[in-house]
Amino acid sequence: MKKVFLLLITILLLLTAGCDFKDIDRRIFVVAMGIDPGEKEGNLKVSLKLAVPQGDITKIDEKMQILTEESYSISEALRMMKSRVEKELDYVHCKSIIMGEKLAEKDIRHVMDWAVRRRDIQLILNFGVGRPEALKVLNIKPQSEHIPSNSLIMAMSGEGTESPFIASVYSYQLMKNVFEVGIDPTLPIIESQGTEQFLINKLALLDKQKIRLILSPDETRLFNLLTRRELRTNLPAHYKGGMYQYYTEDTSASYRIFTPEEGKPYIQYKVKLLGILEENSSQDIVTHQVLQQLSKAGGEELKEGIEKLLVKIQRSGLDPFGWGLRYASRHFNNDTEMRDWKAIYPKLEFKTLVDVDIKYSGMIK
Amino acid sequence: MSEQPQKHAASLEWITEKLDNIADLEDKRLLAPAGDARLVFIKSITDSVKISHGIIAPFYEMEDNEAYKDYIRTYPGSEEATTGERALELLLSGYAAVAILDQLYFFDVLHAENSAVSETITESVTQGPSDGFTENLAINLNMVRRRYQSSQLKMESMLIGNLSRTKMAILYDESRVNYDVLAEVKEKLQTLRVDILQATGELEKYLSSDKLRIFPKTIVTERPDRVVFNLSEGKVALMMDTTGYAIVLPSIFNDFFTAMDDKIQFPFVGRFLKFLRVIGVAMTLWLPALYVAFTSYNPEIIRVQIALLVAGSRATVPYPSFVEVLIMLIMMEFLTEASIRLPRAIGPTATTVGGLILGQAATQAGLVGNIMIILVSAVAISNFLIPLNMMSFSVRVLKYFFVIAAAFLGLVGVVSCLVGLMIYLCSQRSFGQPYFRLFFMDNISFRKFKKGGGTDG
Amino acid sequence: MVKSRYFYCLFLMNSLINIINFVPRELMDRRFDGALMSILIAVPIGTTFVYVFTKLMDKFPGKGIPEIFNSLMPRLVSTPMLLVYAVLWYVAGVITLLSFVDITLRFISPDTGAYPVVIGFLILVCLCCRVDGLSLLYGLEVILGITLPLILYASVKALANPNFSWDSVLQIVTFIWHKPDIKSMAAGTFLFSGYINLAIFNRLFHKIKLRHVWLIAVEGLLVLLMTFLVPIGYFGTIGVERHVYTWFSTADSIRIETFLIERMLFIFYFAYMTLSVMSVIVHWHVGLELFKSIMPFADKNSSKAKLWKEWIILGLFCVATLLLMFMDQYELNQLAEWFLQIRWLGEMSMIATLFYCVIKMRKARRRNP
Repeated sequence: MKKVFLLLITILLLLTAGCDFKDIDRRIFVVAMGIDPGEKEGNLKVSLKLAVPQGDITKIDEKMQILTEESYSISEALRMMKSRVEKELDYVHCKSIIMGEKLAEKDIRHVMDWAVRRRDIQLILNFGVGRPEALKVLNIKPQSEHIPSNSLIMAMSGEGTESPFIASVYSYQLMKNVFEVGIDPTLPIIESQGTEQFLINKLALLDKQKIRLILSPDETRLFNLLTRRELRTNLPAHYKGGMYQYYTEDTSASYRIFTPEEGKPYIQYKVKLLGILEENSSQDIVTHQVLQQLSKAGGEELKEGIEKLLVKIQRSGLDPFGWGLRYASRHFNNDTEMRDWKAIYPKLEFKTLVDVDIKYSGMIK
Repeated sequence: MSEQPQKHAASLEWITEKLDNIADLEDKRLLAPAGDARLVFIKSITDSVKISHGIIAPFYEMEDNEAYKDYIRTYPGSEEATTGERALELLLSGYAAVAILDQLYFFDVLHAENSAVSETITESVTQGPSDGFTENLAINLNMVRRRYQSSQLKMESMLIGNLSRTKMAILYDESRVNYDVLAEVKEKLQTLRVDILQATGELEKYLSSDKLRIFPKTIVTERPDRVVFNLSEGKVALMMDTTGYAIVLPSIFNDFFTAMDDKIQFPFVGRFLKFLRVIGVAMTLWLPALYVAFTSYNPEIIRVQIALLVAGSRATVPYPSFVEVLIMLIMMEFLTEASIRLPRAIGPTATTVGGLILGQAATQAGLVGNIMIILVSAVAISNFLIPLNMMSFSVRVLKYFFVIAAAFLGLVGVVSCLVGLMIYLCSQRSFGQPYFRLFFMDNISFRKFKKGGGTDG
Repeated sequence: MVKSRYFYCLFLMNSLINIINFVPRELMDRRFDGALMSILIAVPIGTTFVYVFTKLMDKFPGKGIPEIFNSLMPRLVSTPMLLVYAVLWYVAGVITLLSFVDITLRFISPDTGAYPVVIGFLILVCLCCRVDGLSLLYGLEVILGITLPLILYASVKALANPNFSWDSVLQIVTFIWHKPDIKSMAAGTFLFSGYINLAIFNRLFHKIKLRHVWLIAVEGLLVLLMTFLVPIGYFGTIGVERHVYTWFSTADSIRIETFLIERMLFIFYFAYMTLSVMSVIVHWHVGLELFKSIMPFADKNSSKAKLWKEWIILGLFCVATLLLMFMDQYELNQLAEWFLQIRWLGEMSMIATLFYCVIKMRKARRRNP
């Protein structure tokens, strides 16, 4: 038995000789990456945002470092950057990849493939489009931030702000949508405003490879309303010359595709909202009747907005909602269904049933 | 004499037959010119002074047997039992039986050792009895017998040690004990050849054959209530003269995580406490190893925010994480060991001062990270959650295996170590009984198939 | 003797470990060509196998396959058969082991080389598979007790994700009316083949009460559907084939919002590592016992000779494993595919042989009662 033990110990000792590990303080964490088209045609400009850990936690001052390198490939650029820092670059905590708008207007698939293929880059990483370029977005350092890039992580993951204008996309979703037939990918747009603020309120709709359409903030909100549950936002309602705003407590949206034998095929959206009145520009007392009228007026306005958005998207020929996939998943003629859908899609009409229910008038009547 | 057929008449023959195998049963015949009488009592729970003054001396002083009988009968506290069961009960609770002229009388000579009994030191509880075993076997037996008044409780005695001639007592409940275990223990004790036997722990070492074992397979306890509780569960208790501890066997892994308070607490509270202990053990075993794995191999596992904190706290530390962990853990062991050996009055001060200053200074000097200090104290505290010392020592040693495994292979090493530990634990047997498995699964299936609770298993 | 529930543990172990053994890969490759139909057919077939095999083994209480074969068949026939089975069991373990080493290197420690990891695993497995069968069953139960809640948590979390694409799943479901595929069926029945370990573990069972056979079928079906459909919900019908370790990538896509650990991958990895090491131990234990039963000097009962014998076999196991390390990802996949099919044939032949043994025993009994 003792012999066995000795043998074990020697094996283990041999193991140590073979393996070399890097302690956490010998690594430097890349928290965000930005990729822009390079100066030279065909080149890529890769920027890394590095988090520099501080020794003393009580002293709150964020330290970050930005590295930029241009090369014909991402990997090559990263290798070149290795010799510019004293520690090992570690990508395991990279939480967002931002592609410059110029790049996203050309092709996103190269970057996506790289991000999904690398084994040390996680699949729950947020993709975004940086405007005017990714490097500018990386350079943003908000006042409230203690850990580098934390504000971007918080905003995109929904852990911090729950903005109705942010439609974050994880890399596994992006990959799914790029390859899937019958659904097109989307990406949120992050705009830099100076060096201390960013703005995420627009959504880029892509075909399988590049940006085709950009939705305005209002449209982005409606897009989120249609794709997500329980979107917290406020929506307007105009009634008797007064402007009202209600806050949505609970929302839900669902749709069905109808292809009647005769008549045009149509998609019917059902949207349900539960709201609280938040703002009232007229000085009137809100009675039960007014509340009901408001619900109706709000519903009308919302319906108009949604139908406009849907038609706009249809005109562009894109399918960010995955209508095609839905159509295919409900039909068993697997060989012909996508061909059918291609024929149906341009002819589609939209019907929206909006059910706004403003239940409370807030703390006062 | 008796009306009911199932009741036995109170006769000394029946009683002695029932109480055979009880080594400290005294059966004396008193002979005097005036007549004769028979005296039966259990030595360990009776007071010999009371017996000689109250029973034996008068017998020789009295003129005739009739007068002595009257004396016994009218003595305050004495009783006359009609049935055998009652007689047995009285005898076991500290009465002496006196048979005169075919009549049985019971004379109260209970010997309660209260003054000499000290409080428990190593196994304290918040509520419940706090008397612990003493160095005197008779007193210890008294404490057990008083709590376990059943004729099923058997005691056999034995002498061990060629030179020390230490008195040993084997206690068990005749109706519940597992006879295979009992036979194995007896055989082991009989074949034991040692010169000197002084501590119960020593005996424990001789009892088990495995040289490389890490886990205790018998409980060494100083609490009579634990012994009694275990006896009722069908276990065997070994007690030795000259030491204040008893050995309970066979013991399974779970037994070491049961404190005697659990019985006193409400069921939910008791469960919670047990759950706390399990978490505590998991923490002591895992925290240092996971720290090594996280900082050296797999920083991706923890959140960015935490990873940066750890990296920051380690920024000034000049050596790899497992060296850091080992240094701090060993420092902590020094402190614990020192506080055990120090006199009671100084012990706590030394630990606090040592721990505080050491921790504070070491972080300020940049030799260890802040987070390391938090971790080491968490490890130290959670280690003491284990109610039985033997197990808590085992766990203390075991965590180093995990640290070493983590230093070699990171998370993979920690998990391999866990699997290895599980299989090792499962392969252990305590006197033929499985040492570790999911015992509660037995209860679940038991309840499902046979309605109504059962407590065996 | 041992309670019947340990039999369910063996079954559960195999059905959960399928993710490591390339079953999802097989199914994904044929997702448009009848994988779903094969799953539906594999469930009743697998359940029947379980039922028939346990019933047959019940006729030989306390006996393992080597004892049965050696007593009822000529040595010349039984020895090669046992050898084939022993190798099969060894391969079952080795595929799990190698695939797990690969997963470890990909997802957990890219820094440590392949050989330290493999040697670490081998030491652990070799030390553990020499333990007696009863202890292994106890250990298996404990480890299932640890991992099962984690796996359940991961599954619930996977399905509760709002980004889970039910449309993609339904799209695959519409491919159901397709003729089944034999390879997918072989892969599907792997989930049920935990019962085959009874070949050795039957020595510990005296009367297996198979109480709820339907439970086995339902569990198998659910696990198979989860195995097959959940990754599709995450990576879509087309993207899914691009992932090498589909399930580990799926676990990597699940985020835990409120815990020290953010990525489900690591919880999943922890659960599956313990489980797969355990499964390698069980498989190699069976393989070891089978090899021991055909070793020539089997009658010598001195403990030293026994120990040497065990270590020689285990040494061979380890050397073979290290040699197999040269395979790349695609070759390993190919080996796993072959194993999944050959193993199925092996199961069928074992059941057939057992059937023959039962008949022979009956006849022998009738002749001299």
